Amino acid sequence: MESLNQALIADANHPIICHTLRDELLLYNIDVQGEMAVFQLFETLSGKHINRECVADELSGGQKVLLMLCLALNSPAQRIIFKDLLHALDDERRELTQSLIRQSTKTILHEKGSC
Amino acid sequence: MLRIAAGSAQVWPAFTLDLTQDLCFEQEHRYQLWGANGSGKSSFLQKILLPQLQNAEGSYIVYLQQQMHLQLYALKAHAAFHAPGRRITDAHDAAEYLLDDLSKTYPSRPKDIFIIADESPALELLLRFPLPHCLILIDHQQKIPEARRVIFEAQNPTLTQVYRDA
Repeated sequence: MESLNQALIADANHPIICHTLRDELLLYNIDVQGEMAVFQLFETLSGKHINRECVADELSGGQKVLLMLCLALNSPAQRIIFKDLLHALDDERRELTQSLIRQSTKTILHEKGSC
Repeated sequence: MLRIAAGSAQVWPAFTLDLTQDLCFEQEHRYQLWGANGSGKSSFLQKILLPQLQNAEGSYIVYLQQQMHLQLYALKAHAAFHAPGRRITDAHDAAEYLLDDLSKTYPSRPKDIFIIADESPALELLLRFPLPHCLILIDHQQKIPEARRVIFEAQNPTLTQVYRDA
């Protein structure tokens, strides 16, 4: 049974740590169905089409944060702590992000992180 | 002053910045690069502006990257040799260290100063820096007071137009 104290920590100061999306998906324990949801959500937020072979360096800093958001929301984690999530997002994406978080059934907390 | 000529620059294999007019960055002025995520602001800094500044020489350049964990390690190593006991734990500490170092060096060797910051959490520190300088910022959180805007307007996923705000 999952401990109530466990949480996925998603720090926007270090949004993506792997070279490829394929490896980043493994870290989040996301299955094939979840992968498609990640790609579709990311494209909705950013307008950019990606697949599991994409290289993280192809994304801008803000896009990496959006990808981190998509991965976290589609992961099995039921409790997520986001650090500095909104800092690097433009107005439109900040609103979309806040809307997504409101709609999520996961427990989501926000913290101010440090780089 | 740094002048970047109008023209198209392919900064990534599938991404071009089209500067529709010359861009000038002058001392004792602030500039805010403004545009949606993914519109090429950081790419402009890294691929166009900084190389030109570095090639021109004759200036101090303070550059704070957006995700600066690698810079932090480099600065910690520098401080270990040059300022033992100085703690650098985050981006704010890093910015303070760089600006302090610059403040000590400048009086004996005054040159143009360009401070370039990409989504820096040390924004308030940069805005208070007292020496004459040119400040170039990317920040989505607020409109920087007295800053001239440079607009990045994405035309499609592969092309962004860049121009001065009227």
